[in-house]
Amino acid sequence: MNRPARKRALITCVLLAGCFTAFSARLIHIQVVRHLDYAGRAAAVHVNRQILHARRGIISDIHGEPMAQNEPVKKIIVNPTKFKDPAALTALATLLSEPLDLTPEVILAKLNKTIYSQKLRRDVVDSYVPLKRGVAQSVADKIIADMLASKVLAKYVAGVFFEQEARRVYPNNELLCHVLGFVNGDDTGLDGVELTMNKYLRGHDGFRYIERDLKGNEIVPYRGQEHSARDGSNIRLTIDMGLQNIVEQELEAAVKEFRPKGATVIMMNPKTGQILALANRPNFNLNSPKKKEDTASRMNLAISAQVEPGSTFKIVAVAGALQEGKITPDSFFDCERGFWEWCKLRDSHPLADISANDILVHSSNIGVAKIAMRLGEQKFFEYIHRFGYGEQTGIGLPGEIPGDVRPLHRWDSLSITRMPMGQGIAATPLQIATSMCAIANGGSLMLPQIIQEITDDQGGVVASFPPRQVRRVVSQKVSNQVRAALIDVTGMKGTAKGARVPGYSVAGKTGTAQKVENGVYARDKYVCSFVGFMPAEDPAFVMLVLLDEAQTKPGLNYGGLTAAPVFSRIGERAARYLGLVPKFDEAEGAVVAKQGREGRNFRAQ
Amino acid sequence: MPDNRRRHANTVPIAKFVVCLVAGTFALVAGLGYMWCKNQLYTTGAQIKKHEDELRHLRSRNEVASTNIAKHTSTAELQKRLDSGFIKLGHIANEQVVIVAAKSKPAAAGELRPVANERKQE
Repeated sequence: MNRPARKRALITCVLLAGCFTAFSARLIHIQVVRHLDYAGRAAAVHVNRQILHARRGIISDIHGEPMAQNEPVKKIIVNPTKFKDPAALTALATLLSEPLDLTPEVILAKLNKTIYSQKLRRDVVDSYVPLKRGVAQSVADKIIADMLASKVLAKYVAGVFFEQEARRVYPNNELLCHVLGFVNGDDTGLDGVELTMNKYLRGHDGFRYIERDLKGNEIVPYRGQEHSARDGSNIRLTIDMGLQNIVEQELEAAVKEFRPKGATVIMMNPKTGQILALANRPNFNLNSPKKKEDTASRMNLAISAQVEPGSTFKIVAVAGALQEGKITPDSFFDCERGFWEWCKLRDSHPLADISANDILVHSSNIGVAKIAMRLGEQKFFEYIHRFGYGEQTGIGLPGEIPGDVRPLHRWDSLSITRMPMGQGIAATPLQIATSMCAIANGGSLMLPQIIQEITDDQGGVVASFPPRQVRRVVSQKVSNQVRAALIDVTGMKGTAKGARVPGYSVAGKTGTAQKVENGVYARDKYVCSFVGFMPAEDPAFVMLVLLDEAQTKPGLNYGGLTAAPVFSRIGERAARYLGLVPKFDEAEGAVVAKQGREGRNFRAQ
Repeated sequence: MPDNRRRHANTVPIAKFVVCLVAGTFALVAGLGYMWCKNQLYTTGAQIKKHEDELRHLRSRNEVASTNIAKHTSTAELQKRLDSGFIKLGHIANEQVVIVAAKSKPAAAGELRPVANERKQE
């Protein structure tokens, strides 16, 4: 080979090598550097990411009775492009109108809706028209059967398809509505336990990469990466539906009798702080929650309403003074015969020298004011907080408010005489019940709990919530002293004779608080309450009954006459349900019953 | 055959034929096997899909049934039926209670035996 030829060959080889190097570099760039990008683009053409929906967890009561669960339903979708014959679309609209409860005109309007196609640059008929959600499985089956039976529609069955969904169902309708809450269309909790426990209940959706053929059917052998759905955890509440039902029935009866603006009953286990039953009025049906504007019925009064606690608050001053050694149960106080000129304070009945014990029994405003003054502002303020007032209880339900306790520097000279009788302070009904638990259980403020445990779908415990003591408020001795006084409150000379339950000793305190309107106390608007526990010597439950603006005859609007009898009725049925052993009381000639094997069958002796 | 004739005769390359035959058969069997496997794959896939659909349908029916059971056995529903008189609570007399437990024989003096919930003879 001569030199020019060799040179040309060399140049050609170099050029070819350069070309191949460039191609190789480009290939490496595509295959290695841009691999993910191009793989993604290719997958987008023929690979779909199928969502595997997680099942929302179930909410049940302490015995496992389901209170919120899921019902499988369908979303009906129509692809109008599959219907070549316009008469078929009209026939479909007529066929679907009855089962879907929609007029044929509405269905046709939806089916003929057009959308702008970027690809074709013109309006086209939408190929994915969701007609209705929440269609029952049986209705979906009937629609397909009817289509197959129709001569016109039989060949267009592929144009109608269903997507699986789940609807939240509450079998007990209104019962416990404020605690359970509800979900929106996307299964996200909006209120109550559904909201606070949403992250546990909702679970985690899974996914699967699938490929489809030309007809849109999945090619199973080409399934790609798969990640299973993780179902939501189940929530077991501390609520006992047996007790809840009793509370709801008696509260309903009380609402019919007194027609209050609002009413609340809270039943708690004082030893653990667990909520056994909780009911409010007004309420609503969880399966058809009312419109957003109707906030009154949705409000959980037990934690979101603040009321003046009235005389139920007197236990704070008395217990505090006993704990600090400022008084004994037998310390005597001059109750000024019903009117204390110095601070313009009145009692409902004129009383002279009475013991600290009797101050609670007769609910003397003057007496408790003098006890608080002996305790001192600083210490009294301290005990208000120790009993849990002025701070959220931490029950774990949405919308809880802390109440309103004025800081010490904003007290005037009369505050120490008014606050011990529950004026000038705002508390939630739950705070009042929780503070009474501290007296009932021997002096410990317990954290109120509504969740017993969280379990997975196999029954394994994900999280449990053992009873938690917030702080010790008073000693066992002081607790016993206050308890003795509270037993006398329901005795013959007390203010809450109506709260007594035949066969059981009941301890408690009435409260009758005037409502504040426009900065002044309204003359005829009261919040009547009774908070107590039974059996007094070993309480099985603490219960608060609170009626806001009960309608009674003039002069009868007292906690002892309205709320206390409701306590008695619920207490009697609850004792039977819980199998509490009644005791014979010779002095009062109480009905004597003997506990049956399950505590449900009572026999007169 | 004499050497002079063998040199000019057309020899049959049996070895080559055999190799081709084996290769062809192998290719045919491999091809058919591949098709059969592929077909099996699709058939199994279709069966998997069918079973998955059946399973989903059964799960769905099961959940519908359990929802209905929960509705009909809920406290609210039972209370409604009790109030309407559809069901009622009745006292179960002592004589009507059957205790499912084997009655233990009288023990000999000093003999240890497990305690059972025996019903007292009235």
